[in-house]
Amino acid sequence: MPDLHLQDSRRDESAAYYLGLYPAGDHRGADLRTFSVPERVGGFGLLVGVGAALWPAFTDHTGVGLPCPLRAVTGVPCPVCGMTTAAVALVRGQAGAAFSANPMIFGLAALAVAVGPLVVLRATGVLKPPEPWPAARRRWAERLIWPLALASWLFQLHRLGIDRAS
Amino acid sequence: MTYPPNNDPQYGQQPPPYGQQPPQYGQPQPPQYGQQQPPQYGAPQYGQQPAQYGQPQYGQQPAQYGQQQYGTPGGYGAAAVNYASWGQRAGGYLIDGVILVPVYIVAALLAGHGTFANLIAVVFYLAGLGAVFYNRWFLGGKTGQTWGRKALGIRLVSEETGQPIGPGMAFVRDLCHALDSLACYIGWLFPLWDAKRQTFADKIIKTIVVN
Repeated sequence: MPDLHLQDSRRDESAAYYLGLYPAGDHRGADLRTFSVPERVGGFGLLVGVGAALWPAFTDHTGVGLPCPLRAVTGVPCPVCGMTTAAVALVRGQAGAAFSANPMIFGLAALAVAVGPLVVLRATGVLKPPEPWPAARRRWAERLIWPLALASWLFQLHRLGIDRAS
Repeated sequence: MTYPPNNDPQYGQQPPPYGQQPPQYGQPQPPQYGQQQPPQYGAPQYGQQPAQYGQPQYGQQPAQYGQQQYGTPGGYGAAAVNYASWGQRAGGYLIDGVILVPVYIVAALLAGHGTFANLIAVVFYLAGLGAVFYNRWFLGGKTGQTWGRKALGIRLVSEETGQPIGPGMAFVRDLCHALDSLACYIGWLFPLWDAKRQTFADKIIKTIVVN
């Protein structure tokens, strides 16, 4: 395998890297990744979308649900409660119902929508391979996530109260 | 420390002679001969962004010229830990579970059809349990690879030693997975964004899954 010289023919080699011709990791001081964190979460969002489209068919036949273990045991909902309901509602086009169940689904949906064009742009070499965020930006993201999680938890407490899931 | 082999093409190679600039993204800054790199959270990035997330922290030892250490942070020539992706981890777990489905289906079909059938069902059920014990805990603890992990080319090792964690700790780690399920299974998704791609259980037991 040839060495990776990304400073030269960047576009071709970026595309080659992304298409798997080079392994992720350290390339002479440049730590390259195949997918950034938002892309990974967006990819998961796509899986959630497919799952949400198939989920009702499964639950209608079996009656099996996906309870939140925390709520089932303690009666206290968690910040992610309602995501299954929200995802199913969103793939059915019921945005209001999705928001009522868990507004965070729209963040996941936005990443899921963005991941397709991002993959195309990276695979064609228009965008460079992703690099890890600097520590400062990561800290900033963490500071954003915790209040969001708290807000979502309060939302779920308001929506569901403290009661064990049936 | 002995660590699993890295698939990085640079791993195991000697750095170029002193004074020779290696090709890098952005402005190259190879370490000087004999000069130690201070431990950094992250390796040098292209674009010259210091102290970045995503690089291993193993051992916190400074990189030295001519010394290759798996997971050594910072420094030119240091090999990155190749963490397994969420997809690989989930796939391995899925394979470990799916393999046992036929056994439990047979046990379920036989159960309730007379004493002899019940006995056979119990045998199948125990065989499934034995397979879990052997695959998840014995194999997974001793070699780091269950059948599913082996199929996907990943292995579970200790974050501190790089070695398999042993059957006992593999069992405790699986118990700790209960915490991953606690808040709507969010712990299972942590490898999507975590720097070391660890679940809650991995953080508690101090394990990583590598390629």
